[in-house]
Amino acid sequence: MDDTFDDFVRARAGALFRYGFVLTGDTDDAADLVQEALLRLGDTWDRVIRKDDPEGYVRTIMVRQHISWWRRRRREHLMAETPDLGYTDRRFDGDAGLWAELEGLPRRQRAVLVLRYYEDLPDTEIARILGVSPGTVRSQASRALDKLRVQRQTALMEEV
Amino acid sequence: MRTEQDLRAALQRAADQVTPPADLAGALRGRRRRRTRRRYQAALAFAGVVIVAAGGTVVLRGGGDGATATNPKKVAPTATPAASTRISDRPAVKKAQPARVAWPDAVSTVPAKAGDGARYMPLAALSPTEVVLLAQRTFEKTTRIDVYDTRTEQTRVLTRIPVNQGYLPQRFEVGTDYIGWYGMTLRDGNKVAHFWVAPRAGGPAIKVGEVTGTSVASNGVSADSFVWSAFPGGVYRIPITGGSPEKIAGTDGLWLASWPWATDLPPSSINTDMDRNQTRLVNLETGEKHDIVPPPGVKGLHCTFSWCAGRSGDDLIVMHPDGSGLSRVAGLSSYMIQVAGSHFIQTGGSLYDPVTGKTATIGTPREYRWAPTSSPTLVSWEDGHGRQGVLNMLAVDG
Repeated sequence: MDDTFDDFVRARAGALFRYGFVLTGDTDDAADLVQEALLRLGDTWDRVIRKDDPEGYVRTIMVRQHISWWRRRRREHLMAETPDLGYTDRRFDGDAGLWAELEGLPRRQRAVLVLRYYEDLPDTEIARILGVSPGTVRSQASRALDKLRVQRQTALMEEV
Repeated sequence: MRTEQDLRAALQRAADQVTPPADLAGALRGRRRRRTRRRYQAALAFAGVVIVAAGGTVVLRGGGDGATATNPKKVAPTATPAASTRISDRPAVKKAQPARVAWPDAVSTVPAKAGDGARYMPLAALSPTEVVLLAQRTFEKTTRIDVYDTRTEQTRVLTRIPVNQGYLPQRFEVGTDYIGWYGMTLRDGNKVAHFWVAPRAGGPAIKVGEVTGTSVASNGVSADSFVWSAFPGGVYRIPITGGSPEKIAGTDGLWLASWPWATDLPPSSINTDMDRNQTRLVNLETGEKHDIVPPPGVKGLHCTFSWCAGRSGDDLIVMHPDGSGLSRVAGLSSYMIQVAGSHFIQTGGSLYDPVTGKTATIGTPREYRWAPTSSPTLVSWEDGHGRQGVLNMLAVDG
């Protein structure tokens, strides 16, 4: 069991870390999140590889952990440190303002955007992962896009 | 104004420019080794610990370190243990089989599409052979409710959904006499909820009413009213025959789970603490109340009138709302646990029957669905052959 799990970790930890970073906006938080999620995956590895997709499984764990119990740690972290936007600006060229503004979104809204625009998942799958209704996914995404002043190609009301 | 492509690019750029820690895999191996050692030591220290059910108060021991282990005498000082149940009394989890193999008489297939091209989404079972299908012409936009008989393979229209109302009909719930749903619009900046029902036996949809300024955290339908919970809690109703909405007395701090049952646990769509345990279950028709005592160390416990399910480490914890039948199912924990009907507990793509220990997989690992109503009577999946598999819970065990 451990050989295949170690192989998976070696092959996918980097990609999972990048996903964690996009989710959290913070490298320390991303590393913690990946580790916790991989620990959980390791505990259930035999079961998961038998009937599940390990990468999908661990990504689901990550986003759900990020939204739920992890929130408390993040709040403390934010209170302890002032976000250094100058650092962010230098590091992320292009629309650095957009990246920085993601920080201001509620955690669930950010997760919806990451799942939709980074993971390219359909809203029904996002709803399943987050344990909410597809309607909630759409409304959360809509609110988040409004806050970021991102124009949607197809507005919800035009579909109805 | 930015575009969605700008957002996509910003996220991808951030991911590309960050550097993963070089020792992530190694650090993980270390943490796993340490944890394994701790667990081994804990297992030695607590070998043979049983679950004790005492006078309705339940105490779960074991799996922790000695300093924090619960003393049952302190938790239930007046109770005399009436029964001691070894963990192994619960049927062991049997090797998972596809649902079709586990319950061959209850699994059937239904069409993936209607004759007019609408996509079908299975919603609920009305009987051991009748399945309610939502017909959706565009994404998530239900335009009709059909009923498919899996024995005769005939379909009938139950009702047509009024469309072009400016909102998407959502959260269809099946009651004893009606099927209910709602839609939300904005009017002058205020939220307006539109409540609808259709007779379960079939017939035209009935607009029950519009309520301004309310949120809908959950909804359902009783024999004579549309019922719902607002985000801050409280359960409300509006008569199907018309009338004013009213708050049901005694529902402060409660949310509708599935009519007539209400709970002190917010619906998952607004509950931000996945570790929170349910502690109350109230029947709003009869006044029957259960004070639920979460076993120590259990997280995310939630109950229907039949079963409670929660997490404890890597294990699934199962019990009845009165605390009886408490058991630990090793390795079946998940952040995604749902009590499904009176028979099952769904964890991800698996269904577990706590009575028999039978465990089945539904769909494929990434393509399973959650039971679609608050009181599930079916689960469904793509069968890979242009139809959909359905496990009809009303057909399980006859």
